[in-house]
Amino acid sequence: MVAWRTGSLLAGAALAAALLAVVLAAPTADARRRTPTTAVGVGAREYRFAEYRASVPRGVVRFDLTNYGEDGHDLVVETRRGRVLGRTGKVGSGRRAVLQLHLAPGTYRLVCDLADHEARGMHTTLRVTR
Amino acid sequence: MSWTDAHVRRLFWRAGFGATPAEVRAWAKRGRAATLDWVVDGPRGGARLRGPAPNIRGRRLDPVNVWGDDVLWWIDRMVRTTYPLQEKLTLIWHDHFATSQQDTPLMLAQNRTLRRGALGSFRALLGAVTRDPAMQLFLSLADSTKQAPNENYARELMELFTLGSGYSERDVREAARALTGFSSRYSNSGLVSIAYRPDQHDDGVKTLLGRRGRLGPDDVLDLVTTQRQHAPFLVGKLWSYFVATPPSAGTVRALATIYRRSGLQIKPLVRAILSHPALYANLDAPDLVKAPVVYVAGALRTTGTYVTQDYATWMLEQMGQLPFDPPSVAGWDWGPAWMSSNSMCQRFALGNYLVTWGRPRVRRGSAPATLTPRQAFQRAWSAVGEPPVSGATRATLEHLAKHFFDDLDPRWRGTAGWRGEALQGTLRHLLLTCPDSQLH
Amino acid sequence: MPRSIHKGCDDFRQTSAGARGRWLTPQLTRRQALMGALGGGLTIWAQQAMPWARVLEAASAQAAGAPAARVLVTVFLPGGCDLLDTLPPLAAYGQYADLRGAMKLDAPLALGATGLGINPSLTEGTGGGVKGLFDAGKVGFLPGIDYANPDLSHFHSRHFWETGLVTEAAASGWLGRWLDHHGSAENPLQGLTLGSTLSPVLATSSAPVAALESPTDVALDVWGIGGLQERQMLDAWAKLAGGHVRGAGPQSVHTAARLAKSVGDRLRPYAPRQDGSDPLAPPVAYPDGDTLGQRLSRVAALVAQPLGVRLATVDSDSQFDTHDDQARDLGDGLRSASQSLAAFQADLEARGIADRVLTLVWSEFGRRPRGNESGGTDHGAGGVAWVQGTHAASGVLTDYPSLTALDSEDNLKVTVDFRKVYASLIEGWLGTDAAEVIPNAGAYGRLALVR
Repeated sequence: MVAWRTGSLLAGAALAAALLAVVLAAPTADARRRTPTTAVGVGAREYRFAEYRASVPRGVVRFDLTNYGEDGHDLVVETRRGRVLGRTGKVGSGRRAVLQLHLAPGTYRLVCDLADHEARGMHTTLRVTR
Repeated sequence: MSWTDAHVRRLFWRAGFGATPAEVRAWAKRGRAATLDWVVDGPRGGARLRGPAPNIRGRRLDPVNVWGDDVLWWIDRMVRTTYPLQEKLTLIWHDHFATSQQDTPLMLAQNRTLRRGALGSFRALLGAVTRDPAMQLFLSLADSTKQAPNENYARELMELFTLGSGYSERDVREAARALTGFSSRYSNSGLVSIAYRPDQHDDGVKTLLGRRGRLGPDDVLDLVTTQRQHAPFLVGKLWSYFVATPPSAGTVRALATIYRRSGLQIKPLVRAILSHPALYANLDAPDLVKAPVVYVAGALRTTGTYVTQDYATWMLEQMGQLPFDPPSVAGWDWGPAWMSSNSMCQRFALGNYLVTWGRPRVRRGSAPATLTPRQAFQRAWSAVGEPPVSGATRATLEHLAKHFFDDLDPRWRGTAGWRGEALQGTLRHLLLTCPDSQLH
Repeated sequence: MPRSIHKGCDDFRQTSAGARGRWLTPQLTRRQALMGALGGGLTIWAQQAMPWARVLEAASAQAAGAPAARVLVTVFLPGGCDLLDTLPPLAAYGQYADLRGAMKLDAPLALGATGLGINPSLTEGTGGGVKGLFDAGKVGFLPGIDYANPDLSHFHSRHFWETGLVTEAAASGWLGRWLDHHGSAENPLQGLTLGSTLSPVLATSSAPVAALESPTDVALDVWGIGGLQERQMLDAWAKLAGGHVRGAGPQSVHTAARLAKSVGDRLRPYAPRQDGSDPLAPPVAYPDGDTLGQRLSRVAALVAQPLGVRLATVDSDSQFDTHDDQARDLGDGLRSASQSLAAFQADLEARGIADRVLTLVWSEFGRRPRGNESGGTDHGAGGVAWVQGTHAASGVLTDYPSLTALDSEDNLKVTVDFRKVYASLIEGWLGTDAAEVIPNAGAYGRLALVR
């Protein structure tokens, strides 16, 4: 007997999963509940990033990367001094990826570390405010 | 022409995203002229969004940054706007001036440009689109310089945006020369600006469509819109979004005259199309296939369902019409081409979401198993916004209702409310997705 | 799946078919959209409704009647593939380098003793890719192919190549016309497009044809009810989709709805099985995530079944309309083509059907010899095509256009009309009179494309 029309999200989730590679970083469950998440859209193409906002408030930052280029690219988030805090995998042409990190106030570097892409211009900075 | 509920529904679906039962009743009473004025001119003071702002599991939309939120943001506008024709025209111009593969902030800016110019002067809209950064990047008009002009924009301007035919390869090349001069500037974070720089413009003499001179970008746009074939071309194109059968030659001439005489204004042309008898033909047998966006936004709007989930984005992608992502500069294929087995399965699947989480969801205890088939049908039909369906559809659904309890022992029918609720869900799902509801 | 980036002036895939819909002779108005194991959406264009049982009977009958019938496959490279960077002229390298400047291919690999080089991307894939096939005597190149005074619009040029006629009027496809003369009246699988809409090349006036989408397993999905009630609901759905309706829109809706339900039981032999194995799985490896490769693997699988497939059309998913960054775009497109076509040939040979299949690779025009300022080239004339197969004539089969004697628009001069190639294939490979398909076929002469 099936009384209630409960939905299963599997069709939607399966498709969404096929399109996203979600990398969650280290914040504790408590921290995530308390701190708001701010999204930053990033467009990648040869050879530059387009960052859809220049600064975000501290807390959980969700990078929404879309590769509008024809080559593969990735997104690596580093401190100003170059310590890697998180990265997406290689994202193919036309595909997307999401990277979520807990960031304290400061300035961070976003780079593509494939081949010579960073040298050709795929680097930008993001300010995290108080 | 008489003015009935059926007329109101036809107009509201073609000019927008459908009518709620209350709207149908109100505007049927007010008559044809008043309804047309309201649909075409919109509410005094401009469009507003009525109802709660979208909320996806407790969070607000971030159309710029979160993938898919841009689509939800626009669908939400279609659902809540008090001026649906403006959103419909924005969608139409998005197809006509199709742009794709560009960063979201640029696409949203283009969307605002299209909305602002949707019902005004076509020449002004064309000028705004020509200067729009997303369009310029998409068709390589930005950084097309006098040394080696890029012909992309010139070609599509004539072939797809304004003329269709009646120009030569030489015209394309000369137009490309005349359109040179736009130059982009980037920073690490993306595009900073696109500006017109006279020193990048080929200021030599060009011969374009019979006119000779030191033509610049605005001269090109003036020339293409004053060509003889522009008006019939645009008339035919706009008509095809509103009426399934092509216009007669006489109709094209008449509409082209209206368009020209108004100084190439879009609103009078659209008003004439929305007043044309062809739009109201066969009120009981609609023949225009709903585009995926119209189907989804219309289903939400007419059932009173707001955007509280994000399934619309990937469903529209599966149905073949993801806003801000047309397959090419020629836009989407409208009409019967929307219908493939895959897209139909997706349209059917939408019913699950609406009936489970939308306004038409079945409340526990609301549908006893003892309703007659007719009562069950009526209840379901009211719950999904009273969609126009044929007598045959009603008969089939009442038949379903009649036999839905056949496997139950009749002694327990009185307590089988759960089955009555399942029937309501089934009827509502079928009403929302059946072939009658795929057409308008 | 790699996704091609349209840099604007494109009209490929379904958009071009729809926008140019006014040019197709609308003789076939009834369509059946079927779903099932042959990969998701199978859409049939025929003059009357064809129940699945009848389709399969007709298909088997045609196959049984001519088990070794020859098959012609056409592969379209959309956008206008550049001849000079596909087959750089080593014998005139200086002129080539001068025309192309920084974007030229440095030290291209020589193509045997032909005096031409080959784009390095065409060496990628099984056995050395297309170049490997050339070295094995299975590829015949056709440089300089086009038609006189070419129209440089994608829409128009592609229409001419698809119909075999240089006219803007509505017309059936050149292979569609062949099916009208020599095809079956009953078997829609005789002419198959691997894609979501029928290629205009296969548009017919009377013979049934079909389009097959890439595999997606979608069924009419109902939440919350099962068993008898679900069956009753889907029966109601079938009834709602039945009946007679008028108008292209309503007919398309009813057709799609009706047949979205039926998961052809008769297709079970071709459906992925319960244990997950796929009876249509290829015996060789195709390039990962490459749509062209996936489509070609389906062609090979279907030709190998007794389904009476005679003609198949496939579009590449890459873009060859290289106005900017030609070095990368063309390289990527040719790489996909090379890997997919090499795998396809290996697949046909592994299945033992390679002797029956000939492939024509084509594009809708060539490109200008002189590069533009964006590292690319604009639309031009005199493009490149090739035939491929164990029975394909091998070598460079037409004259390479001169780089110094250009036409009045500074484009390469056309050295072979595409209609000559079509006529040669119809007579040399399909074995019928070309004049039935190409008007005034006698005027074009013939090439030996088959050995």
